[in-house]
Amino acid sequence: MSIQFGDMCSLLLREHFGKTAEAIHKELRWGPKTFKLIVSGCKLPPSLVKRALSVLIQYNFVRFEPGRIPTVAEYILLPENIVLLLRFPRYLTIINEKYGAPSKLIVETILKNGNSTASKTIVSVWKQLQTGILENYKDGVTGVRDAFRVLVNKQYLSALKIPAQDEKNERVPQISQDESEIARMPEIDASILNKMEAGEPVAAPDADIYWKCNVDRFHQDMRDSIMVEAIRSRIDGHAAFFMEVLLKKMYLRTEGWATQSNPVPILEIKEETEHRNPHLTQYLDQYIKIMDEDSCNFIRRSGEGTSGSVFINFDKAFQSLASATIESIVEHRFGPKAARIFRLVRFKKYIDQDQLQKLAMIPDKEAKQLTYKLIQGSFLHMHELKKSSTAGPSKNFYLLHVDFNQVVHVVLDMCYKAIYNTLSRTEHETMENMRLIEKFDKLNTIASNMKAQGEDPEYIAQLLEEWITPPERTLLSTVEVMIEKLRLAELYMEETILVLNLYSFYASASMKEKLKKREK
Amino acid sequence: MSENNLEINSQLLLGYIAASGPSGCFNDDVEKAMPNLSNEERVSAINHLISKRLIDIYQSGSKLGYKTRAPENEPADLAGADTEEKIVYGIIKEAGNKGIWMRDIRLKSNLQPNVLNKVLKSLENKKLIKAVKSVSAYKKKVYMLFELEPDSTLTGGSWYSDQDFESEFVDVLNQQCYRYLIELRQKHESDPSSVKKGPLALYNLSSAHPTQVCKFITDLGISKVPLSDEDIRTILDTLLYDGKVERKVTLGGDFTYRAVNPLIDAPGLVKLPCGICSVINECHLGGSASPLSCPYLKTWGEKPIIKVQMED
Repeated sequence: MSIQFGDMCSLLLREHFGKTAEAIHKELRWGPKTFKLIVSGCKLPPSLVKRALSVLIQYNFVRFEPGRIPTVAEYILLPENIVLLLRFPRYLTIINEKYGAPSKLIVETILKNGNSTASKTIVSVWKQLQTGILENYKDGVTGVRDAFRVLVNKQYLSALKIPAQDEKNERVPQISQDESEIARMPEIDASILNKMEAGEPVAAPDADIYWKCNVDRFHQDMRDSIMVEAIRSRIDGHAAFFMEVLLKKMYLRTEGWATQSNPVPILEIKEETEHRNPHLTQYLDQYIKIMDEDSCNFIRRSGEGTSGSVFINFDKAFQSLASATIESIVEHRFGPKAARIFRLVRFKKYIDQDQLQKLAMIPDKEAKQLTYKLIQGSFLHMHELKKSSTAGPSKNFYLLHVDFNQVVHVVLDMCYKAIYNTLSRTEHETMENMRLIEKFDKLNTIASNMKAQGEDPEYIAQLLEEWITPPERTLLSTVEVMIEKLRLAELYMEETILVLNLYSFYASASMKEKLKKREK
Repeated sequence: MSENNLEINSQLLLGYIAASGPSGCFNDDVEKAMPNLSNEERVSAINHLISKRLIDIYQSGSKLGYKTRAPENEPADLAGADTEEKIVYGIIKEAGNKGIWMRDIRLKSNLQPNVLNKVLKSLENKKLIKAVKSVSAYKKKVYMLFELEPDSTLTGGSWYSDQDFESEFVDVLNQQCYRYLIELRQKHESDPSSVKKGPLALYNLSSAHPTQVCKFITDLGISKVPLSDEDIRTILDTLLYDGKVERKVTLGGDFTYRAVNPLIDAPGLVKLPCGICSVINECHLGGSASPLSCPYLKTWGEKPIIKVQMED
């Protein structure tokens, strides 16, 4: 974990969970600690630390396990989960697009609570729905329940592991789970839900089954949409549709996170596309050929004609996606000529400076300057080749090359740093203009109260106009725009992080597979 | 030994050496072939031939060898020149259109630097040789015969004029080649009859061979120098490294080029000033560059969001 990553996580926790959570993060950042050590480290009252720690555990940002002394738990930070806070808005958009607003509310409730039982979630969503935030919602509480069930069946929600009843170690519960339990949704009767809503004391049938969002499932959706969009911009809409169908078919026979999918028969895809996209069906073979030969390497074909099949190569696909991302970043940071040098070096693997200048068709001086800038930014690396140990310095060759994994790390750190900057800037802007924002909020409350009391809306508008001076209004709108923009930038940056993370994941997974094969 | 005898011996010797081809023959071979010649006779005959510049003497290992000298048609100006000039002229001529460096001339001719300088000057004045600057080394001057066209390694090919790399010219060509490819693709994509042929045909139609691009560039008339297919290929390769085109090998082993769209849009990182900030590594809370006081973030944040951004 890099410093930039840690800093960003700490700021994220402060923003969403307050200063205590940040203090705990600071304690756990460099390794697991026991409760006593945390308390003594952050110099806060133990009761407060306990509360904050349990909140963090509930959100799966911290886990615990028996430490060196088996009866004392050690708390371990899970920073890779903290960074997911940035993705929450995206999860909600995905669900909203796929299953509609009630499902989005369910996911939102669970995300907000970290985890929750089905009945509680359903009741809470139903209460929100009754206030009329959604127009034309008529399915009632059972509709919410069915939406919940769909989410469970589609694996967007998964059951939380429950502490096992272990007699031996009462102080540190072991987490265990029966595999078959994961995706089973208990039957909840509508009458019970109604009673719960009314506040009557009833025993919910699922009181001990807690649900959380299965982020892996969301990430699969995000990965698929990245790939489909990439194909759309590279080739065309028909090819993107093909990719979509292919991904859907892939899930039937391949594990979601495999580096390579199992082959999908072309015939099966043809059946699927026949009614929905005649253009694609007619030229399916040609589209497959084009995608197969494209340098992005998303799919590979095996076998000829209609009896053949295609498989998706996630490893290669994300390699090209990450390359495209980083090349684009180089282009924006250092200019198009630097991007040319960067690509050229990657293309040639190892290359001499002179050769590079000739191939890139860039004047020597400029080429040298750009190369050194790239080296300074750790985008290019120098490889020294000694001809002989005794010879003078002129006998050595300096070959340029790109250590891509390292570049990915550099860019990821840059992303974390940038998000850290946006977060701190947002906080700063809010603090600076706190008085103004508070005043504005207060006035708005007063105005809405007056409206409720039946005052003339024109009169209220006039009053508001008087209460807020024009300079205040402009300042407020600038601050609002600034904060909104920073938030938006966070979302965009998060996408870059996702692509690079997926690349790292697939690269290491395929490396492991290769090693395993060699061992055999 | 009469003059007449020497003449005959020389003729015999020359005949033998000429018969042994351009690589010449060794001294031992000559001895064996003409046993009736005494050593003195042979030496004087060889000396006679050398002084008449009919044969050359050379050394291979420890053996001496002779070969005939190609008949030179020396320029008229050189006729009155002294031996040093003739030797230097010969060395420069040998180097061909690649030219030869002054130091190498000195080593080959064993002349003193100041003498050599004088000789070179006088040859240059007579317009027999010329000095050419090389693009690979800025200060390096090489000499070659006046009438020769310098090799492309010296001039750098079409991309150099007077040792200067014409980056603007290359940039313009780069843009025009890209324009050609992208227009070619758009033309076919918007043409319904091409679309009807299927995506693969469309793909092939929008690919172009360097010859096609070369013709387009020549027709445009932006280049004063004639450009070869090879030149255009180097330009197209820069487009490949720009990530704007894709190269494909055809069955004949040729390359075709085709404009492609990038795989993804500008990544999120560069949508924020931090992504292109050059001092991001020095940026800390409380540092001289700090996110709280960053002027780039300020000016960026003040601009209202463009609606297009909101939609996606």
